[in-house]
Amino acid sequence: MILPSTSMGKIKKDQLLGKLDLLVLRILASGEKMHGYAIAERIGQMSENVLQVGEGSLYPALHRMEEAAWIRSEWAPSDNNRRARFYRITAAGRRQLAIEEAEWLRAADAIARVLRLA
Amino acid sequence: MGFLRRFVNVFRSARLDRDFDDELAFHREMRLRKAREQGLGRAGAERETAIRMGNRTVAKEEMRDARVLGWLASGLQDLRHGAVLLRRDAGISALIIVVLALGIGGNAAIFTLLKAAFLDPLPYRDSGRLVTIMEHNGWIPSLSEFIEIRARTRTLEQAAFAEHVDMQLTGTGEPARVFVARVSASFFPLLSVNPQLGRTFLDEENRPGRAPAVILTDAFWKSRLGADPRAVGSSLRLDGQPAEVVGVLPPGFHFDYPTLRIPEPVDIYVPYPIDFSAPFTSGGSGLGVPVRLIGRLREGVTLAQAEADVRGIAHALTREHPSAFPNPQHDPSLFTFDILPLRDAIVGTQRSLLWLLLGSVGVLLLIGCANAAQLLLARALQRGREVAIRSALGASRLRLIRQFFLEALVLAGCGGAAGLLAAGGIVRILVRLLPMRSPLLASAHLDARAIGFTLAISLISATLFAVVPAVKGSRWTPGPNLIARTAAAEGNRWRHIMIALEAALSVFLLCGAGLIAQNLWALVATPMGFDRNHVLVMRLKLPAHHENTVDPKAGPVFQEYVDKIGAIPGVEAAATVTGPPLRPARGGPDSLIGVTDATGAPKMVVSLNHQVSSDYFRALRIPLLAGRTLRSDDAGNHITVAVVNQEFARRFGLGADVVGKQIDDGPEVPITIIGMVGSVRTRGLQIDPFPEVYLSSLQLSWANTYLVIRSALPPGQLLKQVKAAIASANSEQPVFGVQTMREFIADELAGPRFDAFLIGAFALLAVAMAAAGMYSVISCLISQRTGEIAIRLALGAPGTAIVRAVLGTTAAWLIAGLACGLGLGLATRKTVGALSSTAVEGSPWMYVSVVLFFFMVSLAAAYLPMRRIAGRYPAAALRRE
Repeated sequence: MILPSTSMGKIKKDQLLGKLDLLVLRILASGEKMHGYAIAERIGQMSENVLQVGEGSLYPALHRMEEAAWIRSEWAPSDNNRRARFYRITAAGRRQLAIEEAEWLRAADAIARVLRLA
Repeated sequence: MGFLRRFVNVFRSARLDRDFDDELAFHREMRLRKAREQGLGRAGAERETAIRMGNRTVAKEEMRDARVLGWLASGLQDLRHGAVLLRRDAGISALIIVVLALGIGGNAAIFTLLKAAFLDPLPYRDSGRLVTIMEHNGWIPSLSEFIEIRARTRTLEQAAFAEHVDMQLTGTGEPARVFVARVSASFFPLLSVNPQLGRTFLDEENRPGRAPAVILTDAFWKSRLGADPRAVGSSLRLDGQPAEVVGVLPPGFHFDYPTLRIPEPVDIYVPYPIDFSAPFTSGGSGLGVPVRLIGRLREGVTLAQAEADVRGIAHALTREHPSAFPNPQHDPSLFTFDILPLRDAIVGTQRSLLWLLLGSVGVLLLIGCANAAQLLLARALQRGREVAIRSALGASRLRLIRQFFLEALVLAGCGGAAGLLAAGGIVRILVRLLPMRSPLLASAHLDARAIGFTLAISLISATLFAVVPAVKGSRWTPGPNLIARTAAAEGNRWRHIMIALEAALSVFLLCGAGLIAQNLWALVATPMGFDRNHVLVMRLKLPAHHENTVDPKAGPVFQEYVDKIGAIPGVEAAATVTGPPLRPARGGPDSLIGVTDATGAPKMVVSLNHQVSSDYFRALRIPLLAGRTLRSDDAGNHITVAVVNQEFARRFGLGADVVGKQIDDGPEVPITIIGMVGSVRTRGLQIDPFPEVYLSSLQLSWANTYLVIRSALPPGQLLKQVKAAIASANSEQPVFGVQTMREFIADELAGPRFDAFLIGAFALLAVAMAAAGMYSVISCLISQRTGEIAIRLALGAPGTAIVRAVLGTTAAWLIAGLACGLGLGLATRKTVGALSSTAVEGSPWMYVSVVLFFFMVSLAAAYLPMRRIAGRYPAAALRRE
C-alpha cells in the first residue's frame, strides 16, 4: 500500500492501491539498476513527498514483480560498499508498464472528465 | 520457470530468510543514515525509522509468500506436524501401518499376478495375434484336422502344432527319459524364435522316413551337454534311432504351459513325421494323433472373422467325411471348431482363481481401512483441544481437514511402501504354492504399473479411512473443546457403522470360504468307484518305441512283469492299464449290434477305451456287477471280448443285460461284452462317470502303459521289489512316474485345496482384523462411560444391566452387519461358485456355522473389555474422572 504523506494533502489509501507496481516500473524504466531504498526515495522525491512508500509493501511488491518476471534482481555492492539487492526492469516489465500506464491514463482521463462535467 | 523456482524455494527457506533479512537490514541502515543526516538524534532516528519500516515480520511473511508455493509449504508443514504426531503414539501408528501393509501388499501381489496373466505380453513376438484351435467339445484336434485347417484357412497367416511324447535318449552318457515335443517346421517361425546356435526345422524334415533332426532347449543343452558349443552337428540316439542336433534354442524360450495340456517342461524338439496319405480322422474319434494347434492371425483379421473361417472349415470337413465325426446324436453337422486367443488358453482356469483372490484381498483391504479409520477417529477426537486452538488462531476448516488427510497419507504411504516390499515376497510364495506349474504366473514381476497400482490403492485407502476422522475431528465447538474434555459419545455412530461394515465384510468372506471348503469336502468325499488305498502306480514303456503305438509284443511282455510282481509276497494284485483314473485315455464312438435309437439308426455312444490286464479290477477293487472279468486266455490277435462299465450300459438303455451284447467293430469279428463293472470317475473327481470299455491287453496292446499294484507293503520297499521283479524279466526296462494312488488323486485335489486354503486364510485374517476392531471400539465405548458405569455400580446396578446398557446399541449394529454379510454371501454364492468351479450349493448349516463362528469371535472380543468393568471398584473409577 502507499501511505499518504502525513504533512501533505489527504490522498486516500485505496485510490492508489495497486498502482505501486506502476510507479516502481516507471522508476526503473530509465534502465538504471536500483535497490529498494533508492526506489522508495525516488518515488518520494518525484511525487514531491506526496507519496511515501512503506517498506512493508514495497519489498513484497518487488518480490512479487520479480516472480512475474517484470524485474530482475542481483546482489551487488552499493555506493557505501554494502551489499544490496539491485533491481532492473526486463522486457516483459516494459510491456507491462506500457499496459498499466495506458490504463492509468485512461482511467485518470475519465475521472477528470467526470469531474469537469459533473 | 517461476513455478520450478518457487517449488525449489519451499525447500531452502533458511537461505531465503537470510536474503530477506539482508535486504531489509540494508534498507534500515540507509534510513537511519538519512534520518541522522536530517539532524535527528540517534534515538530520534531509530524511532523515525521504526515507524517508517512498519512490521518487519509481516513484510517478510509477504515476501516469502511471493517467493514460494504457498500450498506446498504449508502442506509440508502439516506433513511434518503429522509425522510428529504419528511418532507420538507410535503403537497405534504401527498397528495401522501393519494393517494397511497387509491389505495393500496383498492387493499389489494379486494385481501383479493378474498383470502377468492378462496384461504382460507373452514371450513371443506380437503375441496378441496368436490363437489356438480346439474342437468345440473340448477335444484336442487331430493331425489330419491340422493339415486341413492349414490348407484351407484364409485368416491364419501361419499354423503350427506340437505333440508331446516321452522318448529314450542314448548317446549322451547314461540312457535317460526325455520329454519331447514333436512339432511342425512352422512352429518356431510362428512363435518367431531364433535359435542361439544352428537353425530351426526345415519343411522337408516333416516328411516321414527321414532321420530326425533335434533342437535342444537351452536348459537341456546346459544341463546335459555342458553348454558344449560344438553340440550342433553332433549325433544322439532317440528311441534307438540316430538323430542329429541342428540347433539350440535361446534361454528363456519355453512353450510348455500345463494349461495347454503340456504336463512338463520340454527337453528337446524334433520334427513330426507327417503322413499326408493317412485317412482323415477327427480328434474326438480318438483315432487320430491329437496335436496342440496354434496359429497366427493375419494382420488386421479379427477373432470373429477367424472364428467364421474355422467354422466354415469344420462345416466342409463334416460334409466330406461325415463318418469321421462321431457324437451321440450321430449328426456330423453338430461338430465345429473353437478358436481362442493363445493367452486365454494359457491362463485357462487360473483366471477365475485370480479374480476370486482379487475380490478377497479387496475385501480384506476394506476391513483394514475400516480398522484404520476407527483408530484414527479415536485419536482425532482426543485432539479436540488442539483443533479448537488452531481454529481459534484462524485455521480454516479446510486446512484442518487437509491436516487430517495428510496424516492419513503419511500412514498410507508407509503402509503402501511396506506393502510393496511385501508384495514381491507374497507373489513368489503364491507362485510356489500354486498347485500346478505355471510358467505364466512365475514370470510375474513388480514393475512400474504394479507400483503405480500400489500407489493408487494407497491413495484410495487413505481417502477411505481418513474421511470420517477428518470430518468429525475438524468439527469443534468453542466451549467444550477448549476445556480439555471431549464430548463423551462423539463419533460413536461412526464407530458402530464401521463395526457393522467389518462384520458384514468378514461374514461375506467367510461365506465364500465356507462354500469353497464345502466343495473341497464334497470332492474328498466323492466315491471314486474304486479303492484308492494301498495302490502304487508307475509307468512303463517298452524301450525304442513311440508312445501310443500298437505293439502286439507289448501285451505278453507286460504280462510277464505283472505275473512276476504278483508273485511277490504281500502283493495282492498287479495289473497294467493304459488309462488309469484321472489320466488321459483314448475314446471313440461305439454301437451295439441290434441296439438302435428312435429313428432306427444304430445308437452311438462315445466311450473311453482302456487296455487292461486280467487283474485290473481286482487291483483297484472295482466291483464286478454282471458276467465275468477278463482272463489270461482272452488272448490272440483280434479283439473278441470286452468288459464295460455300468454307465456304458445305462447310455444304451441297458442294465445287466448288456452282457452278451456285441460291440459293432466294422467288418471284423464283433466284440462280445462278457462283463459289466462299476463305474469309475475316470475323468476327474468333479466329472460324472463316463462310458468305458475295457479290452484285454493280450488282444490289443500299446508300447506304453501304467502299472498298478495293490499291496499293504510300504511303498518304498514295494518299489524295490517291483523293480527287481521287472529286472529279472528284462534288465533294460525302466520304470518312471512312481506315485501312490493317493498322491495321484491328491494332484487332482490340489487345485480346490489350494483355493480353499487361500480363501480360508484371507477370511480368517479378515475375522481377526474385525475382532481387533471390535475390541478397540468396545474398549473405547467403555472408557467413555467409566464414570457413569462406576456411579451405576455404586448405586447397586447389577452387572448385566450395565452390559446391556453399554453393548445394547453395539449388538444391534453388529447383528445388522451380520445380516448384511450373510445376505451378500447368499447373493453372490452363484458367482463365487462359478469362479471357484464349485459344484455344491452352500448348505444351510454351513451358513449357520459361519454366522455362529463370527458371533463367538465378537463375544470374545467384547468379553475382555467388559470384564474390566466387573472387576472395577467404583471409587477408583470415579477418582480417575
